[in-house]
Parts: sequence; C-alpha cells; structure tokens
Amino acid sequence: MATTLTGTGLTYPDGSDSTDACPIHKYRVTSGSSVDQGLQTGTWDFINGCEINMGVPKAANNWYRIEYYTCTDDQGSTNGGCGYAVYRHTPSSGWNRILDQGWHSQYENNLGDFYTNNTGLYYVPVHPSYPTEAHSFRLYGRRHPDCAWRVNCSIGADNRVGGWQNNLMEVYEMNGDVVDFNDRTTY
Amino acid sequence: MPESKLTGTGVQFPSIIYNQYGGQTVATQEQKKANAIVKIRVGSATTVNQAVNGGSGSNGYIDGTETNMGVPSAPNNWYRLYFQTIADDTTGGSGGWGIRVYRYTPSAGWQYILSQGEHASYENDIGDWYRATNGIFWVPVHPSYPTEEHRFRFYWTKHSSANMRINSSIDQDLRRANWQNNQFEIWEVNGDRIHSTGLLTTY
Repeated sequence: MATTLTGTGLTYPDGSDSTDACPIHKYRVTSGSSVDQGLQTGTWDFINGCEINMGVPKAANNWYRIEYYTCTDDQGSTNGGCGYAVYRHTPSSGWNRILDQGWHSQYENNLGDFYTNNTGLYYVPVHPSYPTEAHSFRLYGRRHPDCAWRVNCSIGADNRVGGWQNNLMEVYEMNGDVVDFNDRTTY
Repeated sequence: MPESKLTGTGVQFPSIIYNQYGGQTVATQEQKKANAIVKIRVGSATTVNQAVNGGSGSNGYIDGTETNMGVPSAPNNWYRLYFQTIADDTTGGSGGWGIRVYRYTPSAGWQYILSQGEHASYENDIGDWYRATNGIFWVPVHPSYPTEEHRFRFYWTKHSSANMRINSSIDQDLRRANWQNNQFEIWEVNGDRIHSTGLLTTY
C-alpha cells in the first residue's frame, strides 16, 4: 500500500495514521564532559560540555524540553547539597539564567558518604524578542553551603564509553501548535 | 526550496538531516510511518511548598496537575505520564512519600490506577534531606471507554511520621511563568508505533 492522503491526514504503508504534525521537531543530546567535576560555593559553574545549540527555532511559539541527570557524590564531611539551573542564549540576548531549582534542591544533612542521581526537567520558551535567532542552552550547577560535591562521577564498576560520562543532557524542540501548556507564559 | 511530496513509501520533506557528529547525512528526509507521539500536554503543579502531611496512608491531590487529554485518537493508544518535583522533609522523624496516578473518563469517573507506594522516596530520620522525586508511568486508554475524553491527575501518598513539602521554594531558585520547581507532562502515544515487551496490559 502506498502512502495516501486522507481527508484527515496521512496513512502510511504499515497502516499507521498521522492526523497531526509531529510534536517534536528536533532532538539533540550530549553528556557533560568532565568526569568528577567539582561544584563551587557562591558561583554558578557551567557543567562542562553541557551546551547544546538548537539552531533557529521553526516557529516563534515553540518550546524546548530540557532534561538532565547526573550521578553525584558528596566529597566533604559536612551537610550540603546542590541544584541545577538552565541558561538560554541568543546572539542578541546573550546568556541568561532562566530557570533554577535552587542551590540545595538536592541536599543531605552530613550523612557520610552519599551518592545519588540528581535530575532536572524543564520546559523553556523560544525567546519572545528574538525568535529568529539561534538558541543555545547550558546547564549550570551550584552547591550549598560548602560541602564538596562532584558530578558526572567515576564509580567503581561503571562503564563510561563513547563520551557518555555518567550523565546526560537532552534538548527537544517542541512544536508549539501541537504541544499544549497549562498556564505557562513566555520570557 | 523544494516541496514536500508523497512517495510510494512515505512523505519526503525537504529538510536536511544532520547527524550526531555535526555533518549532513541527507538532503531530504522521508517519513515512512506515523508519528509515535500524537499529543503532548505539559504543566507545573501550582502550589509552592504544598504540604505532604499526615500519618501512613495519607494522600491528596497535587494541585494543578489535572490535565484533559481529550478523546484519544485510537483505542490502542497509551499515555506516558511523567512528574518531577523537588521534595523536602519539613519535620524530624522517619518518612517518605510516593506519586499516584488517577485516570478519568465521563463513564468511568476518577479511578486510582497506579501508585509508586507511600514510601517510594523515604528516609530514616536522617535530618534535613532534599531530593528530586520522579515518576514515569505508562497508562492505557480505558478499554471500555476509548471514545471518551481522558483526564489525568497526580496525587501524593505518604508514610510514617515525617512531614514533607513538594514543589519546594529553595534559596536562589528561579521560579517563573508558573513553573514552580516541578514539571509534569503527558504524552498520548500511538499504539501502532509503540510496543511494550508484552508485559503491560490494559485496564
């Protein structure tokens, strides 16, 4: 069976139907590059390698879905934690911190050696003033108060290959005509 | 720019595909099957520092998470639900919590359908502990009411004595545009394109 136009969409040779445009336009992925990267107190640290250029968005009303996880470990002997922020860049706006979990969104009270997965999920709009410019995104981390933390950990029996360093950053460009948002505004 | 066209095997789009190493793979792309994802709706629970309090088995609706996905496009479709929030224990004592999912159709009403359990994320009185709590759930179209609209909600349930908060406000956070340190999303997924390993059944 050939692909056919129907009154409501497309029918493909395998019999599957599409009646809407694809919700996801583009998907780019990377892995933070510095194994055992330490986070600082008082400053936002770029998580090395976690920058993705998504190019020019297809439409001004599109959004980006950004997800990050990393394996972390406290290296100090006091209470402490960390959190992750998303930065957005266009040539005209420069780099802006746009969403942030807070600097101890993942925190422990001097438990001794503590390993865990830290995660973040964010939906970010196309820049409302510069929708025709290329958009890039970065992840930053910051610790609080001063317990040493490492991200993208090397751990006994891990198997980090092909540039995957025990962490992953994903960015999707989402079709704003197909993806509905619940009371979200742009910025 | 060349136009899109129907081919014998699919639809050819004029867009260039770039490969993962930054090079150009092909000058056009051809879609040969329907989209795997039919619809996406997303939001953020509305109550900052929503209390997760009470004894074991206490539970409640996570404010602002109700999502109407409309009528599914096919009865064999599934929904992928994802909720993430920043949680914090607000008292001493041991305790934990977990995420529940409810589904609604007009004929079925609201049904409690999946739950992580009341201490899926738990600590044994370790002092102050913040963490991202995540849940991913795959839920079928209601087998008896596939032509009705489907809605979903997230609930919390907790265990033991320590009280908690979710959607937490935290120093140096940047909550804006109704993003309240949590994110949920619901994808309607094309049942012709997504296949489980055979272990998931409908309900």
